[in-house]
Amino acid sequence: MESPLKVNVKLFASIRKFSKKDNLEINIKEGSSVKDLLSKTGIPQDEPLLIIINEYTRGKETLLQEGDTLCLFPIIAGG
Amino acid sequence: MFGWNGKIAKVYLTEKKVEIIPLSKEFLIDYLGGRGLGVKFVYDLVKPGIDPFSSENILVFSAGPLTGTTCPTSGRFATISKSPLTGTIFDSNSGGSFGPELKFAGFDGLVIFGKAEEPVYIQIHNEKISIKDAKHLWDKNTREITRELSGLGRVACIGKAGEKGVRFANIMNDYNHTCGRGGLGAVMGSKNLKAIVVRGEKKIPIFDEDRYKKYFQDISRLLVASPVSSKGLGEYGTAVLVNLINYMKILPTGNFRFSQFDFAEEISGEKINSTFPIKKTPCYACPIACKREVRDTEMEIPEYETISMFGSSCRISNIQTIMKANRLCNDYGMDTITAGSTIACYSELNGEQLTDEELLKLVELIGERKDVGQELSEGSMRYARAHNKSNLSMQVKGLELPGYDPRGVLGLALGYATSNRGGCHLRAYMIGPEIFGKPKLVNRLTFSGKSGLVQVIQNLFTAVDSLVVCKFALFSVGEEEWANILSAVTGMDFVSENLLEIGERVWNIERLFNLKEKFSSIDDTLPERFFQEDGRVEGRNIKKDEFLASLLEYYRFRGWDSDGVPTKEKLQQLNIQMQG
Repeated sequence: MESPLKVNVKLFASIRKFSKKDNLEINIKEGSSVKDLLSKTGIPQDEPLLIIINEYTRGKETLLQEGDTLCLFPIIAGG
Repeated sequence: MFGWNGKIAKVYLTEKKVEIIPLSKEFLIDYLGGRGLGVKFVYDLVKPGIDPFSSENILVFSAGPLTGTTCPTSGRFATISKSPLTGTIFDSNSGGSFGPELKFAGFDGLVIFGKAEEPVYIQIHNEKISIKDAKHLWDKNTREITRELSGLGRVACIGKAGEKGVRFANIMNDYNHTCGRGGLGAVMGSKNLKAIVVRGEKKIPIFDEDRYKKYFQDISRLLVASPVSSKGLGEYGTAVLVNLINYMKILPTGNFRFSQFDFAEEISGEKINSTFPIKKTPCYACPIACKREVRDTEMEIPEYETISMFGSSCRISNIQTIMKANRLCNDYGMDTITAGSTIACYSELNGEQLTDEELLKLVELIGERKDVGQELSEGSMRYARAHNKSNLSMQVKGLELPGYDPRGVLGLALGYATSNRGGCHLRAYMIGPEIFGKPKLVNRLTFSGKSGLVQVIQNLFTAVDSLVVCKFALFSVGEEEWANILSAVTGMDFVSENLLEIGERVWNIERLFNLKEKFSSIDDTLPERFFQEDGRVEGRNIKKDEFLASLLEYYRFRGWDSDGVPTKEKLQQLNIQMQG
């Protein structure tokens, strides 16, 4: 039996339009990736994202761990 | 000649004389324009050791071969001189519409010599250049000057900060577009030159219109397809970075004592977008349109760097106050990063948390060079040194660091330390690879692999500053596309490697200039705070031995000796003649 993982998700800038809340706590199956998590948040899987997990930039295939904090931004840049 | 006009105007203010001289094809192939052109003139014509405010300093305005065409983001020009803030060679470029108009008038650049006896402005209409009385324009700020002169053409001007010698005074154009950072506005003021107004009717000739159209479409497609340029920057401007940079624990807070700000959301791009109706104010030929203002009041939306300095670094959490400080800086014509950082230094040195009103008052006093503003107008390095607290000035080579704490982005730390104009993120924007993963993600918390990367990006950015196009386009458009369109415009064959070599040539000339000004490898460093303190992120202080090893490796990649001096072989390879 796969145990559920709890992860924190924070949404920023234009990604906020996909959810009523900016901060979410989401339970997902062990072995889930960022892509799997997106389907639970209402964010389209093909939405271009800058994904930060626990202060590191990551890709959509990254597997999630218990207690991870995910920050989801649109693809941004600037200076 | 195609793309280029093939000539510059030398304006001698002391003698009230103008001379138009041709530029050779060989020179333009080696230096392109913009930063490259200006750096070569300053290196050749400015004697070592002169006071940047003396009449012996020169000030170059230069456009590039793409400026004035319809090529996306090409509406830029550069200004180059010896900086009164850093004492280094200094280039600064700006968008707006002044650069294209200079090309339409028939010039690739202007070189300003000497000093006018009384305030003047330069009026250019096509190839007719006049030096005119500006006594009636003196003691006025930039919005008023721009309004007053805009009937005559596109205006680049200084405000009171430039007149009064604020060491970080800017040259403003088209109201809010700015050549910022190193105080070239004060160089302009020291020459009694209030403004340059230019109007031209010439079309920029393009060598191969069919190829140009194809490459134009390639670049436009890339910009539209890229979510960076079409969505991220277009929707939120650079202020979108506040929350990200804060979350990554690299947001300068309380003069870099801390790396996170509790009130970041209050000063974020999200807050701005939900508070104000926004209007975009794009530069010439730019589809990105990152510059924005409040629709009805025309109040400028500050850039990320401005927010980080007046906001988190001064621990001010009211976005309206930051906007007012930004407006004051633009109107007086002075740099928001250095103004904000110098005030943060003042605040720490005096152990005071400033109120919003006190912050705004200080900005005004700096612009007027009155009371304590006189001391602060010297920049944080001189201010802190005068109070025996040099360690509280967050600068490299006299230039205040921008809005990224280097302890959490070590490639950028090396970029800050090795920058030829001092603490700057725009010489090699390592936030690209270290945070955004562009063009490729690298580990931000190691020096490993950074020295090679930093110098390549420095070379590329120098070439881009010489074209002159916008660095924001680099997130979507690579050097190959720029080389292609440059070839189509000029009729000369450029490939990516040529651009990188031009960048490397200009970088090495800048280094030679600085070495003659007695800068050495000792100056390729960071404020001691970053080695001693962790910014409240455990273990994040930079390890000095690792930093120094990375610096030595950087010198090796550059073909410099272990003291950071370019070798004869490197200079020969780049076709650079040593002087003196």
